[in-house]
Amino acid sequence: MFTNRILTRRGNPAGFGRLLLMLVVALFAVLGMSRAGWSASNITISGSSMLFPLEQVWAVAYMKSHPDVHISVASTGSGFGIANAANGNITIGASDAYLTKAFRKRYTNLVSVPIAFDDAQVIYNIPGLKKSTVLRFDGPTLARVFLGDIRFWNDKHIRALNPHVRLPHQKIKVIHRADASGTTFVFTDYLNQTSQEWFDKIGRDLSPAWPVGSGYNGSDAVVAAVMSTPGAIGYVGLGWVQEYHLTTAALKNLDGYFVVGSVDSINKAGFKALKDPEFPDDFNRSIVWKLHGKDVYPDSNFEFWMVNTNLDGDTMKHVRDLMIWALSTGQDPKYTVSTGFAPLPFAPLKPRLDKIVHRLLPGNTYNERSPG
Amino acid sequence: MEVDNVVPLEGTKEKARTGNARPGRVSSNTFLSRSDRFFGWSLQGGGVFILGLFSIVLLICLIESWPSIAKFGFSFLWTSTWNPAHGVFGALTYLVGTFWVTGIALFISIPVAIFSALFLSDYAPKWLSGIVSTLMEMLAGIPSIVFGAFGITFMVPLLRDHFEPFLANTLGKKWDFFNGDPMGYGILAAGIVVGFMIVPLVATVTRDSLLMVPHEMVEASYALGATKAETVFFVKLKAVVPGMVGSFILGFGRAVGETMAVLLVIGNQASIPQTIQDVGYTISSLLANTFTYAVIDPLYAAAEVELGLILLLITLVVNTLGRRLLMRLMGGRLAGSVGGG
Repeated sequence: MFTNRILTRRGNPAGFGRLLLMLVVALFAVLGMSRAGWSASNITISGSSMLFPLEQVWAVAYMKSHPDVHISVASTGSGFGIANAANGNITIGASDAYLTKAFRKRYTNLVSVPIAFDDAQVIYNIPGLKKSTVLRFDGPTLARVFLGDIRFWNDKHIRALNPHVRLPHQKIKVIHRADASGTTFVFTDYLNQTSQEWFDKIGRDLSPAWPVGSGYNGSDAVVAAVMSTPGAIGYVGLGWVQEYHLTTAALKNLDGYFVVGSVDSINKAGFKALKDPEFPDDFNRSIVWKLHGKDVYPDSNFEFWMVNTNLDGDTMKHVRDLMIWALSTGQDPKYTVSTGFAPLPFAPLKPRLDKIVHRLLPGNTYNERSPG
Repeated sequence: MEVDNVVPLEGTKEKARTGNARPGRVSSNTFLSRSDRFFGWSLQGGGVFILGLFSIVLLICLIESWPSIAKFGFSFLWTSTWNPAHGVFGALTYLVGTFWVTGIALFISIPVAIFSALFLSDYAPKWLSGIVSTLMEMLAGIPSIVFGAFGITFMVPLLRDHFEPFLANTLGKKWDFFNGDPMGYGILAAGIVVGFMIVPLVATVTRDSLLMVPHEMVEASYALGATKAETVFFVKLKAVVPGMVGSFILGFGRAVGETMAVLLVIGNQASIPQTIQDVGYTISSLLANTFTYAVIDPLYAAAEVELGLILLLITLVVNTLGRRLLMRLMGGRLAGSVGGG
């Protein structure tokens, strides 16, 4: 009675019914769509925010050539990717870090597949220094800066590496990532391998306990903070260096050469690693500070997809096809370089790919097909 | 008979104490039809839902944070080490950062808010008061990320190049606390931005309670020979103290949990600030930055959820204390309107 009166007074009880009907129809439409989505093969990729742009362009291109596969991509962080790939919530977990010993112990059912190549490069903002001036750093000096032991730009350790640069008596402002980040992992890996002090006090991690400095959420915020803070030093990946045309430091590599990160110098590192017979086939080892060569950048590493070995057969077949596509056709610079990665060199990867596929699908070996 | 069945929707105890029904409530003596009762039950569902939601949130937080609670106990609160790689977690750094930001925010916003509320209620011409009030209400609705962007593009350079060096050269000469390294990013920037965010909130509530002060009081004050300023300060402002305290509590609640705006300007560094120019870290910005990663390690995740639980308890305790304070100040008649939290 009460409600009826109100509705009639408003004058359109029919409008209410129509609204209800529309809602019901909309609900069914949504349900129907998701059912249709499931009937095609559905692959969910989630994890690393760094890999996300590359995965997006891959998904679009792959779905165009494989209409029977639907790929949804989400950027949720590497930790989420690893944990949820292991418990089966998602098909592929994207991660900036390989499975370290601790991870392998916890997530025994994961296989890591190298999928792209990235690095960490050191950027700085020193008043009075020409934009084109490339500073040189070695691991121990860089570690001391990020530990807060070296506090001024004209410190004798930095000057010793850069005898030809006039460095001001300016306080160093350390800038790092605040969120868990693959760039941080690669960067702290370099400090970890080259400085005993860093190894003892901090270690390598996607989100380490930074002793000094200030943290920013995302590489764009790091670039902004470094550019706007006089005396700042920070680190970002290749993609950001390219996008903002940043000058980055030359880092000392294993053979004592100072090398600036670039698509070329990173690619060389990847080539060397894949050619190295001692490099493990499960890729669960850092290549930072491990490779010899004149123009090998010392601070680069693979990006990974984590695949659960317990996926059902059909899904696994689709995942394998996608993986092989990503590692062949997908490495085209129009996908990788344009989103800030260096292409993986396919020739030395091929024999290893065979073993990875074998680990995923026992009994099935990888058959080379024409890309596409 | 029917009447008694429907009433327990809301505090019968309170009713018994105060002796009469609350103003604005439909009198329980009205005859209730079947549809009315159904309506009542469905409302009851809403109340139960809220109660259930709160309990579930609290329960889940407790369960999820249990590994950390069990391992660190109360020492979690006064340990300042936070090292996921070594499995050591302590909340002190983040608690201190949270309180600094909240403190600075309240320190800045309270005077500004009270002054603008007084201006709007007693001094501004009607047309201006209308415009400013509308703007203020719009300000209160601006998403926090916008305030964060304002902080990065405007506050940070201003603080770095002008205000922080100024503080260091003046107050800093006397007190080390103001003699930090100008960076722009830090607890000061975060505090100011959050302060700006809660000004409209505090001012609106204060203005509303000022407007509710009975005319008789004001007239009596004038009749006793008080000037306008005296009336405004000693009569009106005094009369609305409970409302103001309520609005401060609301502001505190907003400031203590503010995430995005803080995250963008605080400098996210897990160290206890030694000077006002230092960077810091708040609980909510830590959770926003690292929670998706923390799930990788059960203890890490538990420690982060425990931080969230602490934040929840802080707001709970402050709101409860605030309500009690209000009740006492108002002599037991807690107006449902102003800033009950």
